[in-house]
Amino acid sequence: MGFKAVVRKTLIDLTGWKRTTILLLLGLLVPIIIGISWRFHLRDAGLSPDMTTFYILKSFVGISFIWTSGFFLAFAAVTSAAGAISKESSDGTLLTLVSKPIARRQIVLGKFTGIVIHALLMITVIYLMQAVILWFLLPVEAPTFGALLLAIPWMILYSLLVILVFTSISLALSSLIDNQVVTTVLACGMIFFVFLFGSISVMFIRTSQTYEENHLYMIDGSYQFGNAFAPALEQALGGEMLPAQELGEIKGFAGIFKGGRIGEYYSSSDYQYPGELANYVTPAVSVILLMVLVAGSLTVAVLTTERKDVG
Amino acid sequence: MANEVMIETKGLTKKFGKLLAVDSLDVKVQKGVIHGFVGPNGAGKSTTIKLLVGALRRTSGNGFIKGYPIGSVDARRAIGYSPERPSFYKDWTAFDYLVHMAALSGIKTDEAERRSQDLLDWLELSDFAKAKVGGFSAGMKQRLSIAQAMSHKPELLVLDEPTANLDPEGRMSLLQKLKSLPQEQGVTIFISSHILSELEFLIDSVTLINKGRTVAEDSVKVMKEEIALNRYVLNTSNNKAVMKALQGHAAIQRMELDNDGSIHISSPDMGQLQSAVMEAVTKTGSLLKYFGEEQVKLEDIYRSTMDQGKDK
Repeated sequence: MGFKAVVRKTLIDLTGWKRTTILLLLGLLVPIIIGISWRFHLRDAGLSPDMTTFYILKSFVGISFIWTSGFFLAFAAVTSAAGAISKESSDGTLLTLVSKPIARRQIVLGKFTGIVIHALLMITVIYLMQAVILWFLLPVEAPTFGALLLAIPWMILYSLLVILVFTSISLALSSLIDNQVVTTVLACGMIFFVFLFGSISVMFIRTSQTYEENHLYMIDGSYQFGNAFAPALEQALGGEMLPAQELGEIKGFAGIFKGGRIGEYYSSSDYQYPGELANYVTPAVSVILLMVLVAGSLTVAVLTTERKDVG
Repeated sequence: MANEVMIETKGLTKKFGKLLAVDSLDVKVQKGVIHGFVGPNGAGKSTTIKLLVGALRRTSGNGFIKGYPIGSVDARRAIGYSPERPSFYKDWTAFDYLVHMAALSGIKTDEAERRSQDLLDWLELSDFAKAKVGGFSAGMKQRLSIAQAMSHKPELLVLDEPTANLDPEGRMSLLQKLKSLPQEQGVTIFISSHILSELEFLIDSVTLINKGRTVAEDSVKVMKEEIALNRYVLNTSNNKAVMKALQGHAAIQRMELDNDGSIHISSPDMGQLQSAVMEAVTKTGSLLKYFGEEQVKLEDIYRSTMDQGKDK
């Protein structure tokens, strides 16, 4: 009962109309801008209907992976979770909260659950609106729109992984640091680190060989996320892994192709992506690693909150 | 109900780094009483209260609420706590806030709503049930804080300076409501306040603390009797002359004149003192206005006990 009350309160806090409007606009801003640019691109390209469907589907999945599930969702999760404990602490409301007959771990897990539910609902709405916007902006036929809708559950599944990872880490930071601003800044810095670590490391060390020999991919968040995304990508694109060359910019960000890192791409002479899958670890291992990170972060958040002196 | 212990601490200690805030504190509070927790600023009252409600972790020692270790969910189920400076979710209405607080304590929604409305009525806040807490005055917030403390029908109310932000009228009104709780609902109240005159009206027993340690603890009646023992008050038409006449008499241990014009005398022998006073009054030609046993106030207990603490 107390747990449900925490979940409910978290959902109420996160669904204020101002915050919801800003998040929806922010989430849809990039798809709208890119959709408009594709409109002109497709008009001039003169593609066959099949190619148009594939292009739109691939672009939809690409933008969902890079922007919606990537940066936008990660930031939304981080800004929701960063103040979950620290704001209660700095506002003084945590004192009353911890005096109630509810275990402190239930407070942490209740807030975590509320943030995850909210982020999942928000991302589902954004994906649906994104599909509808593309339908309006682009020459999308009914079968193409159907393919977009069928891709959405796979994108949501992948989004869940992103939400779990970034929410749990931010919650751990929020329990460790009482200042909400510091927590948010640190958590945002973490997003950049996770998504750009692989690219930056390759830029500095220059070769994939060093990256592989030192198993840097194990701590490379963008690789692990990209690798975990691969099965969802495969299903979203119709059940088959497509030739790497067809995937365009997706694989540069996913980092699951050998030499496919942005850093290497820009440092190569011909600006071409090689198409070979890296296969450092299987997607299942990446998912497990990320879930271990989630469990570890939640453990830190729970233990820190349980041992915290409040007031 | 008699002799049932609601709060018990044994050597309860809290350190913040090198600062010893609570030092081997022993407190015992019986069920069904209103117990005052009194001490000077920085004595460790609020820290002790936060230890009792589970907000702070103890450094050493033990504490029990209804036999459950302090900080445990069972102990907190028995407690309703109103902090010294209550904080709220400012965008929430008073009613929603109370329902949420009750729900946190495991009360079902319909019961939580009914209970919240009753508490708002009882604390004269029902006109503001749908108003946002952010717009409340300090006094209204204080009353709302007491309402949230009572939202899950706790057996023990722990109130840290509950009347601090109330006007005199609101203060008296709240004290009368609190006074009726033990009899009407069987609630035990553990209350800290620096306004001794209002505690006097309210409490049955008291713990006096200083520098994190228990200085004295007993029922107010017993403490008053102990302090009043061998203490007398004398008032005449010429106090200074009477005092001069009494000076050095064997029956008098200590004698002083207060600002209100009364002579306070300590004497081990009432009979001898009576004779000495009559003799002095006659000798000086003064008029005897009053002579009797000292009426001890809580403030006297506080002063006397803290003075003893200083002597030690």
